[in-house]
Amino acid sequence: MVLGGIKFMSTKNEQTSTAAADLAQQPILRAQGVWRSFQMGDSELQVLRDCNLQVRQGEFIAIEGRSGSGKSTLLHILGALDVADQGSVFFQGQDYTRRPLRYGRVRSWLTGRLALRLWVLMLLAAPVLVLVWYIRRNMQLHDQFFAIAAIVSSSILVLLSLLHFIPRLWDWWASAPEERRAARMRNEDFGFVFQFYHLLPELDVLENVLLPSMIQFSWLKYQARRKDLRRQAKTVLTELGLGHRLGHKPQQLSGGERQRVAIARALMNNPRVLFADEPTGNLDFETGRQIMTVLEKLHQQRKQTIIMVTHDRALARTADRVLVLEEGRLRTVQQS
Amino acid sequence: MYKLHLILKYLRKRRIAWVSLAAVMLCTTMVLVVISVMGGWLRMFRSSFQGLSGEVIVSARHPSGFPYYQEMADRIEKLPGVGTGKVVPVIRTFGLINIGNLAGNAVQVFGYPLDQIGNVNKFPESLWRQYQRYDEALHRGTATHLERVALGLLPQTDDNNRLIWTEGQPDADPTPLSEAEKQILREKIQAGKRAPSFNKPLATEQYRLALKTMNPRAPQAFLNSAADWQGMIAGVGVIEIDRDRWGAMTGRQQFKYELPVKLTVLGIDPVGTGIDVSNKSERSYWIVDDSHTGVWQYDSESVYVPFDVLQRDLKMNSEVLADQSGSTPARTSELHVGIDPKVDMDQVRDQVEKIVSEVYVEHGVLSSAVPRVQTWKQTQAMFLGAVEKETALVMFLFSLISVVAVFLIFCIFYMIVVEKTRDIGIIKSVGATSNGVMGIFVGYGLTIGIVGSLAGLAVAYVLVRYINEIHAWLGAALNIEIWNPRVYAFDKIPNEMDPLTVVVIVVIAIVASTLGAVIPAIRAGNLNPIQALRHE
Repeated sequence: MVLGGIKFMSTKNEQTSTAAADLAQQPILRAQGVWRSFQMGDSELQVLRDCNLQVRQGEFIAIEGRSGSGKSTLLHILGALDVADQGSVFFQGQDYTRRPLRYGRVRSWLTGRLALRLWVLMLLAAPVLVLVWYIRRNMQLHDQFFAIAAIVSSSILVLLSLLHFIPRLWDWWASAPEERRAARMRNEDFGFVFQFYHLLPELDVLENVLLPSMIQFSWLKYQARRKDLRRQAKTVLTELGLGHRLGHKPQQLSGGERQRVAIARALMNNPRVLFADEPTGNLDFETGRQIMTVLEKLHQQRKQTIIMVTHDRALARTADRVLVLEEGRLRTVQQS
Repeated sequence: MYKLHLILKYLRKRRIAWVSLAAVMLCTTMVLVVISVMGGWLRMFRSSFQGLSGEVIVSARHPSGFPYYQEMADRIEKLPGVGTGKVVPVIRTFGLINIGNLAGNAVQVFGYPLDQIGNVNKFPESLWRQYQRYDEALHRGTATHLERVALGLLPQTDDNNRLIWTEGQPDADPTPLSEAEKQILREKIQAGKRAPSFNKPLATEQYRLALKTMNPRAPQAFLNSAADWQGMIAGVGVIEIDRDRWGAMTGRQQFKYELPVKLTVLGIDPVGTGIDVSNKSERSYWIVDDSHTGVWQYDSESVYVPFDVLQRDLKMNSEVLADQSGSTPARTSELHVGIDPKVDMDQVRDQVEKIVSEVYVEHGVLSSAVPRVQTWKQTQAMFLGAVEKETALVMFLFSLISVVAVFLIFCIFYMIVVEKTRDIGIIKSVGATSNGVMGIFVGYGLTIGIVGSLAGLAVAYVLVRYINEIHAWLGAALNIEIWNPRVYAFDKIPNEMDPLTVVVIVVIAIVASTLGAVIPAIRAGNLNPIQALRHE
């Protein structure tokens, strides 16, 4: 494996070299009193309770915990993929907490069984009644029943539609700036490595790695940088030992190779923080070890900030700091 | 960038999307073909009916016609937008025809002053011998030796002054027409358009010979009378000239122009109310030309004879009264008024109506008998209205079917979104916004709309352009006739596309397929990335 001497481009890291000293003191990522619950049928499952976390620049943190303890949920909230019920998250001192949709509650009774039935009924009845009324009118059969029925059913349909769409439109409108900011952070500042690799099956290896850059740049800007970006992606893939697999589809690769493609994709936009959600969970021991070697090298040679979630205590020990998530709360483990 | 990239990838890799593409294509083709054919049919109706008569028509309320038409014509000619020679009297009646004892039929008889009729309608352009055959040859640009003889580009008689028989003779291959020949053809076309005539094409001796061949025991006096017989123009259907399955005109044999025709019309007494059977008039004619207007109802049952001859036969001419106290006025059944296209037709109609009433008042005729004054649209309102309604109905029905395509796209896209849920999560996790994801699917629908409707347009163009050939081929292969000229009035299916209609339909198809993709796209955009990533 060609893993030695990983030299990734790290322009962002160099840009801030003057303030690096200050930043080193300041946490790059901070979570404060984060709460998160999930609705499971009629009961509510409280997953995170007042979680607090500080991650410094260049730190390798492992969050350990049993399955279903909420590790991934915390990672998703930190990675701007999910929203906390309460509490705040800060990246380089800036609050990027997203609030749950304000009018989300309106959904519950509008998409309830009764409302849904009424809606479908009106959707079918209104046009028919309008048509019957129109035909009867043209045949000079003036009949108030159909006129009134058509008006009433159409009005109910319009009212239901308004009640359904206005809160959604409002939510969409109000949350758009926050959503855009979160998306930009996921694209430029964060990188994700998932347990199940999550590569797009239609794209080949190179295209999968280039996806974050395609999202980052408009068509014109991408075309202007195309050669550089492709070269960069090829370098990353070659460094990860996948230089000969550029044109292959994900389904033609082994599990370890797929995970390395996922790592290459996560590194493509030089993220400040790399989130790894059970990166070896789907791999055999040997391949898992290779992936861990890649992450360790990234951390050691590039000073890449890594937050890894795992249920494997042995893997967690490779990190600088190990945190355990138990009953929704984070606890630091003293490393021996 | 990623949107375009993914749209193109999905379009290539997701074959299910091709089903929606095919649906858009088929619907566009269907609507375009239907609208082009029905719209073309309506256009053909309009132009053909307009070509059959003047823009404004004064018509009698009963079969005996109306008097003082010459006075009316003189005054109408002075109206702005009309002009000298633009008011032409036409007699329309019914008669029985016997063509060389081969075919007998009831026909509609038109009395046309042929030298003027070109001023108000396009009748001269429907004549085969005097116009169409020259026009066709000029358009074709080539002619064989015998075609040149028939067209009069080469001498039509041999050294012994006998007419050269051109039908069924061995012929040379066609050669291009020279510039001089084209010039001759152009002159003949102009002459045919300007001054068509009922002149007989053959020599008197030839007609005598034809009569003698048919009836060897005919008395000499009868044979001699053949020279005095008038010329008649027959609608193509009357003398069994028809289109074959391949759309070519067949049955235009030379002998049809050498058949004696007996036309029987019934004279109508202006004073009486009924048709006087004892007043019948029989007259022999020679067929001198055939008329192909394109409107089956006219072509299949109309013959055209000189106006003055028919007027005399129907006793509609001016006659001195028995007590020598004066004369009865000449009558006609219609006056056709040709007007300048820039002038408002309805306004002229009103003015003509006023003139007609004035003339009647001046002569002290009963006002109840005042002829009807209508524009050509009013006279054909029943036909045009029916076709317009039918076109609208068919368009409505096919549009309704096209809505199905929108639902199909909706279902397919919904399926794609469900299938691609995890991919949507992946795209969002690497930085795509909800709007971006929505954009992928809306763009996908838009692309399918554009590609599908343009492919549909291409197919529709080929279908409409070659619809007559396809119809002929279907007729030959399956032995069916869909477009019956007796039903649809025209012997050719309209094969033109209106550019504006095409643009409107293509745009509607694109918008509709985009709309079908909008709801699935909104769903895709609203997907929570975490739930999407966990989707199995």
